[in-house]
Amino acid sequence: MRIRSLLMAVSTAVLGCTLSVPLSAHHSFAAEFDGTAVVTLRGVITKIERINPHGYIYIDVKSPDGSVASWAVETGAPNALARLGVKRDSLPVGKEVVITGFRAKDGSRAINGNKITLPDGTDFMLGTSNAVSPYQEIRGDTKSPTTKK
Amino acid sequence: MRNQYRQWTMRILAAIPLAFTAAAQQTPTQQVGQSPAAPSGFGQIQKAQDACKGVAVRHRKQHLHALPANVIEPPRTAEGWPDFQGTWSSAAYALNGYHSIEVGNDPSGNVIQCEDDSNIGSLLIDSPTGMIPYNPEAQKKKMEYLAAIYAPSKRMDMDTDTLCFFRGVPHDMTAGIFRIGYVPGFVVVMSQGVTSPTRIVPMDGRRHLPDSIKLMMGDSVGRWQGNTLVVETTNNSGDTWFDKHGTWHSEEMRVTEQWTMVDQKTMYYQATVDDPKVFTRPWSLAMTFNKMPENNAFVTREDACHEGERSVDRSVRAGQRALAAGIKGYHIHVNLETGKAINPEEQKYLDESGQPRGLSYAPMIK
Amino acid sequence: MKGYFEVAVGMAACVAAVVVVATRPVVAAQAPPAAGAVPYTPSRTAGGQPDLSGIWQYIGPATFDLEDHSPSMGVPAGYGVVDGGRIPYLPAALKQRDKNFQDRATADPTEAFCYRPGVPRITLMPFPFQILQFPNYTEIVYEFLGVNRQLFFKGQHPDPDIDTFWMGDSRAHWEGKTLVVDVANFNDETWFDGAGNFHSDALHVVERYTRTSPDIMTYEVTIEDPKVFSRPWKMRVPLYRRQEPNLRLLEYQCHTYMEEEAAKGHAKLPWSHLPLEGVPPFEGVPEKK
Repeated sequence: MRIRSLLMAVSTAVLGCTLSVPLSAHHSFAAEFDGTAVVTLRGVITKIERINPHGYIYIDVKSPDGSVASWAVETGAPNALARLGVKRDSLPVGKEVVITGFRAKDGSRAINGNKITLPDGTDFMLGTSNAVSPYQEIRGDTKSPTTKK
Repeated sequence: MRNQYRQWTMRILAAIPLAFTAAAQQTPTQQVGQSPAAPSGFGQIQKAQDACKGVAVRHRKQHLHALPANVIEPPRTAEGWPDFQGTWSSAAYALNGYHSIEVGNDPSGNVIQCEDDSNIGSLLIDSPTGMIPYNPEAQKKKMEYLAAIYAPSKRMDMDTDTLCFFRGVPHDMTAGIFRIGYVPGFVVVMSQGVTSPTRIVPMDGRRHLPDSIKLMMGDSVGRWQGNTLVVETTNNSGDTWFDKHGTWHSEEMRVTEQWTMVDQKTMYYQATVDDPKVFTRPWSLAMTFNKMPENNAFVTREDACHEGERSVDRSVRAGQRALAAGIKGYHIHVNLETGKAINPEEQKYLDESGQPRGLSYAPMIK
Repeated sequence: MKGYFEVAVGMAACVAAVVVVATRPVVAAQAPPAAGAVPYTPSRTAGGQPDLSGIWQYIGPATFDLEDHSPSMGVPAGYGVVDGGRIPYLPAALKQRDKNFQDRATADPTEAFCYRPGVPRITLMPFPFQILQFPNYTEIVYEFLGVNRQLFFKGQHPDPDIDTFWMGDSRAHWEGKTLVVDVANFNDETWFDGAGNFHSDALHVVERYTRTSPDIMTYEVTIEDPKVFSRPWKMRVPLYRRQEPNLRLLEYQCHTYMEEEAAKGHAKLPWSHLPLEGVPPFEGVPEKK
């Protein structure tokens, strides 16, 4: 009983701190991205947009044949990123990074970003909504989303 | 009626945004990375138990379906108004009320309704089916809107929230937290989110705006009826939906909201909606708001929805690709207890295991 | 977007009668005297604050161009509202401003894209706004886009490395009868007017609201941005109390109207064709298997 009320207190605090969730859910992940099409991109950051409700990281990805394609990575809003440790100058423009995420359904070179790994091996979650449930966001669960069956 | 309603609240309902091909096939997708071998795209119905494990938050003790017989005599301000001022939370409804106020929710649309002691399958309090009483013509139009959302071919097919339009009344009350404040002559309701703008409700009994002025938030005029705040909203444009579910209305819509404090921390809210062009009768929804402590200061964070909107074009292109490949958008509601479509005519879209048939999106091309 | 001036003229006619009666004749057709010089004492709210509440509106051409300018199509001529006449741009920034001016028909974030106008431009839009006073914050609700600003009496600006906003973050305090609002945490997206005057994300604004008569409030703004201007500068305009009885804020959601017009094929949406990196045009019917 005590544990339950502690859990309620904790979760109320979490709820109070994360009431930005409804704002970030203006649009539907599912309409835009494919929750089962996981993509891993290796490329050089060319531009970062720290905007609400979703930010963007743009990277140039080199194909094995040498051609370069520009990809857009949707991230969370700046304050969601900040909670994950990503601030204004955290991500290195001009450096090569690895980003995983979910492919855009319209076939364009865009993904809903899940995680970014920097050259020194540190990684950050990218604070977006995912295919499963925004409850994971509420919980502060920033592990890779899964597509549960 | 109450017993029937109880049955609904015991169920966990899920909806499947469903797009299917005539030939139910799986096409492996080629992409830069490796994806886990998944039999189909989005549209997997989560087992309720799995989905509900994720719910760490118990939002509140109760969801009231009616004004309780015993309510407190609220404290009054110096001007004699029942004092509702403070921050109130409708966050419990944030993940279902704003997606669909009717029965059923959409796991792939990031909403799932889990069974707990405050489950709400539907916000409607006077509908045994849990659905809004649309007349047949209007119901058809609603289903068209729903189909269009899941395979949009143009920007205006997307739901109004995604397009960053004002929500209107009572949709603006269904998500997040809000603050009630009084200034001389007005009750001010400030919500989070740009789609729920601040409402400045005059309490001086003035007449409504002339009929030819139509606003998305309508024109609200309030009055006290004993300890209940009654707000009438007229002059509604026909641009808003009650949720993200194609629940449209016409310019004839009128809304009457009633706010009553049950105890120091609980507010009962009821909204009655009438629109003779669209509904067979007036209908009502109810919510229970909980007071948040004042030190949990309510701050409106800027919601630059329109400025930051980048998703609509991509969603529309995805929908166009789906339609071009012969894939239609569809959205049906499934009773997770029985695994059957709530509307028996939609059962054919599910396979034997209760999962949506076929592909749920256009195959990727390199 | 074109109806602004017509609307503003209507408002001016409405307000002018009261203004003539209520104020002393102004010698020069300039901004009213600096705050503090006019000994008007406003009433107090129940909470003891000078009462700024009500529905107010700016009338004048500053929304088109803060500086002195000639008339042009759709733009009334205007005495500038900038102290000293010209905005003190750094040389490179002045070039950018002039480029903005050239491109203004398609580049103005507010007129072309219906984006939030930032501060102080939101005050200058030809739409009314309502000031609501609460103990811990003053709230200003603007008819234009339903923009809502909370001017907090407590707390600090958040970390700009984390949070930047179109409307900035506002922290207020009283200096006598003047509400002083310190605004920071801007992004670099907004313009000050329709003439391309702009800023960086280093923008810092201080607003001063002072009632100088029953129906007039002086709005004085100090602007600094070391990345764009060589020094801080000020502008000053009167705000007029709207006089109509039972007035209420209506709506102006220009992006909604533009989406609806575009759906009918009557308009192109500038935000729908913004270049999104890596997004190819729609490629046609994918191969069926």
